[in-house]
Amino acid sequence: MSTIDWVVLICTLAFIVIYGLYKSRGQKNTESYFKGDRSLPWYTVGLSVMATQASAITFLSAPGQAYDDGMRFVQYYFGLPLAMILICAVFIPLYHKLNIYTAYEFLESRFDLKTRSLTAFLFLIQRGMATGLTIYAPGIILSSILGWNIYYTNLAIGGLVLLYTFTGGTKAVSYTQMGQMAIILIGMLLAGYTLVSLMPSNVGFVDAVKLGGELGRMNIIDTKLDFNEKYNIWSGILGGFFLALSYFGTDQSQVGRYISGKSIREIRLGLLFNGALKIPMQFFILLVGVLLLVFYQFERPPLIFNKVVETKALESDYRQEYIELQQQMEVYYLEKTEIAQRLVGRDSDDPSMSIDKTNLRQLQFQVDSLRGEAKALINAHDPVMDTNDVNYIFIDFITRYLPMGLIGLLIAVIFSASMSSTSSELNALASTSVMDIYKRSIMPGSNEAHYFLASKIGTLFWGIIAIIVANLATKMGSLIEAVNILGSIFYGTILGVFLVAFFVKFIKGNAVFIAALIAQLTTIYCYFYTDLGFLWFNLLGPAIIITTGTLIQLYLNSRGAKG
Amino acid sequence: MHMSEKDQKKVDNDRWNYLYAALVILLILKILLFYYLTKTLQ
Repeated sequence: MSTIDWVVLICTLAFIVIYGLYKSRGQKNTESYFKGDRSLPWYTVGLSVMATQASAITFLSAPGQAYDDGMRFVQYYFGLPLAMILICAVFIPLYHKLNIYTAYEFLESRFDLKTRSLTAFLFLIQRGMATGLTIYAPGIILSSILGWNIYYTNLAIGGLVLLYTFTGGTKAVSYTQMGQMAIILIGMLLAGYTLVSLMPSNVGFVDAVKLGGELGRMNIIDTKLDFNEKYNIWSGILGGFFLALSYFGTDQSQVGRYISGKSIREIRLGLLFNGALKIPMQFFILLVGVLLLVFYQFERPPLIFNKVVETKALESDYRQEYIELQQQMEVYYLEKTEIAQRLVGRDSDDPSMSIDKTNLRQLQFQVDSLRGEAKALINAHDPVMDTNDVNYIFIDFITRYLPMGLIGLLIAVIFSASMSSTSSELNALASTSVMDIYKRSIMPGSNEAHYFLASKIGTLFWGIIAIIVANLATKMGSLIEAVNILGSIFYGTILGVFLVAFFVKFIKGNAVFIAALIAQLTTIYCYFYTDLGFLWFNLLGPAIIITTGTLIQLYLNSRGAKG
Repeated sequence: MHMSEKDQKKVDNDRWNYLYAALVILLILKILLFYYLTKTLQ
């Protein structure tokens, strides 16, 4: 990275942090530290909610995914606007009326203390570990592409987030997120624009999108009902709806964002703003990936985008086989460039074009297969090597082709995205541990100054834990999978308890608590003793809680009636 | 003439319902546009 890039990166991040600290000065109590005195306008709420969801991996992985697999991932977000409507209509009035600090606090008024403590505890374990990975994930990619020491990137991201989240609480989180979202959007727009301008002069934006279609990547909508397909319109609307409902409605890292809204009106507008903009934003980020693939029709792409993996392959015993694959790719590339040039600017109804279109798609399919072969070759000799290079495709382009200054800005985008998610998570972990556990059960009845101090110590504690987990993940790759599984086995139980709280009025505290324990133990059993894919745990938890909760409540009612 | 609190609440609720309906229509329009793009570009 050049000096200009460093200046852009440091100035951008410093400006955002200083702005956040300035706007959040004068924190005096837990009300302002965790709820921002309920003073934030709708656009701050909306941007804050969007920034929390968009982690660094979103911006690194989504373009790579579109490059490899096309635009169909956007369907995953189709259920989100519908979840926003339900949350606005049902969740928000209750959360606001009860003036809650955390989502789990609501569960005490609906059920009892033990249910609140259980869900808060599950959230703390799951999110406490996962926050470290939010810091680690971009660090490992930046360190491999730019040669940075990952311990420094972990410390830089974690330390900066801790600085403003510890000092300014939720307001600092929200105001920095506004700046971070602005940088993210400007950076991505500039990257998309530069990408098109780097293509041959006769290829415009519309030509590039058309070529993306010829290459089979404009597969935005799939209407086929197939349960084995991860992304189609049905799983997107239904699965996406439940996922968004649990994430935005019950996860404190999101609930903590919007309870700081000035009024029900401001919160609702903020969430609807998210509901309206999320799909176009995700569409655009994916489109950058398709444009990248079109760009590589005219520019020679590497066989594998992760340089570290490619270098190892070229220094290995199977070097010759890898070079042969590269040479084959070169042949395909030259053919593709010729066909792509012929297709640009020609009338799509021209019958002679259809042969070119078929050939181009066929060649792209062969290139995709070659990439698969190269990865299989590496893994056959080195099974532990991570050959999945989806997260490296976009960052490789950034560092190789973007002009000076813009590289620094795009690295700032990745840092901003990581920091915006991490800060929400730290704030949520602190509010849950202090308000749901410490104040409620360990040290009730102390004064406000004591809890305010505890909140700051809580933020510091979780920040340090996050940095430690990020550094541990560097040493033990298996930790990442463990944390992801931990998330899945707890998420279902938490969602189940909330769904009962809002929609199954008949089930009361004792029944839901026992049902939640049964659901959690069953999920853990399924994880260890069955082959059930861990994504299914998100559905298993709610299903068990609702059915066993109903049965237990019926039993308790009948016993009560007899008594 | 001032509206009663109940009427005011109903008007407010109606406004939100219109906004929710607008969001659903926007979602349908987005899906239709994506469907059109998929059909014409694929």
